Amino acid sequence: MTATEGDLALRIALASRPPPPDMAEGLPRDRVQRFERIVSEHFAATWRFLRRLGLDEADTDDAAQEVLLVVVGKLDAINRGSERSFLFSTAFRVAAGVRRSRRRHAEIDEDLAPIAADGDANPEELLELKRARALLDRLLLPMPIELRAVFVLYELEGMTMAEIASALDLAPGTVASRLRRGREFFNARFAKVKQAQSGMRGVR
Amino acid sequence: MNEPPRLLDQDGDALKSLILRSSELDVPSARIMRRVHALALGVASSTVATVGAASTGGGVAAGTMLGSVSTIKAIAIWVSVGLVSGALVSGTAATLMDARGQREAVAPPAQTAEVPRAAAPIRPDLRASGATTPKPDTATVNGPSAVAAYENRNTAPPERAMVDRLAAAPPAAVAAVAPAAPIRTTTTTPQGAARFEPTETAPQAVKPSATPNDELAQELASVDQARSALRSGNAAAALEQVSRYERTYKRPRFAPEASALRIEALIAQGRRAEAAQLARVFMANHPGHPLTVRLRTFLGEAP
Repeated sequence: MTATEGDLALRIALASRPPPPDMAEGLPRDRVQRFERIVSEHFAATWRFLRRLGLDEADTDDAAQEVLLVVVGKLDAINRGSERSFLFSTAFRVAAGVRRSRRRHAEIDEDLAPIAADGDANPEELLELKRARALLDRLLLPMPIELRAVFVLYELEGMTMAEIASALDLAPGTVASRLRRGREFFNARFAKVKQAQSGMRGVR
Repeated sequence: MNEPPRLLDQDGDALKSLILRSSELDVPSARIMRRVHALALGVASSTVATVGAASTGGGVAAGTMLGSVSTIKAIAIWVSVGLVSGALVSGTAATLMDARGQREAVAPPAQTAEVPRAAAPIRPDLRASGATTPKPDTATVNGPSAVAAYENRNTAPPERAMVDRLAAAPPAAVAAVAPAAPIRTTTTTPQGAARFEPTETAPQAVKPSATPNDELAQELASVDQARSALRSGNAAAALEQVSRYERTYKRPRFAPEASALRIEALIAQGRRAEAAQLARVFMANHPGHPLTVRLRTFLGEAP
């Protein structure tokens, strides 16, 4: 190895070595802060999204954690301002994987399992909110995940169609049609609930 | 892109509106937030040994939560980040703990393994309050009265308020609500009737319930009234109704939504400066809240 080659190798080694902390912008403190900001602004929404995609709570926790791991791994590749999109698109992929592995269970208990109380001594109104949420999840249960993702992001998370298109990497027209179909699905299921309720009122 | 009105803004079915709102009141458990916290500490740690120590230190084992393969992957990722992140453990820990409002001394990098044990769970509501309370600008806004009123209402983050209230409310308080219930279906079941009756199909499994829901239903109706006033173009009535709602309920469950409605009503009235100010406070107080997305749209900001 010539002196020049050695010098070059050294320079390459130095350049590829992680720079010392706190030396310049874009370094650890920034990254940590950015990660924390992402968690604080978007983690809850990501978690909710996973949950509404049909994962149970334990799976949601694991999946949400996995999403964060991906975020950490790709922190520098995530454009500023696209963090939310990145999280949701990652979450969608992770959720789809979990659902595939859980499919058999889902089919078994679809539409048959009662909406059960947790059995704890919570105040009743908490149960009401929880029940509303349980009903929401049951209404969404048979909705195909593609429709469901759009429906949830639009109707429950309040995202714009453009944001959804970018997060799920869909054409705008696709978002619109999936939303329409998701709504039809949801409204039809909801109508059944109402029907069942008025039926019960009639009996009494 | 053409944005169709949200279902929440369409028909006035109380049950549907409760169902659609129920998701935004769903928050990650303290347990997962502890895990996130443990992982966040890992972001800044620099060796595998440290990650291992951190993950077992507080009984919050990052490794045990994932499968063994993903554990290795996890550690690999965290370590690779840690290498770049260098010695910023104390930075992460300090920020996280500040976010909780805890000011105890934070372990220096050498004592990383101790940090998780010292660190209590971070709940999103606590984080939300921690993220905003230190900001002098939100605390010193003296602008339009709407802003002042808003801030008075939001000294405690509403999600937190709700959780506390739900945890604290004795059943008696719930039972004491007025008989008139906007949700018709909730008034028919006699008190004491089984609340959850497993039946053959999903829809029937959801039985209408007794009075406990009445207060919730009334609260919901109150917010819906403001919402429909706004949708029908009567911003003044909407503002009035939002204020009435906030006066009526000491710890309103739908406070974030009420605040957002106020902002939308102000925008509708052309009071953009006030609206913008409130929207900024709102977004600071409720990071990640679904409504912040809509507020950004209202303010014409990029999402």
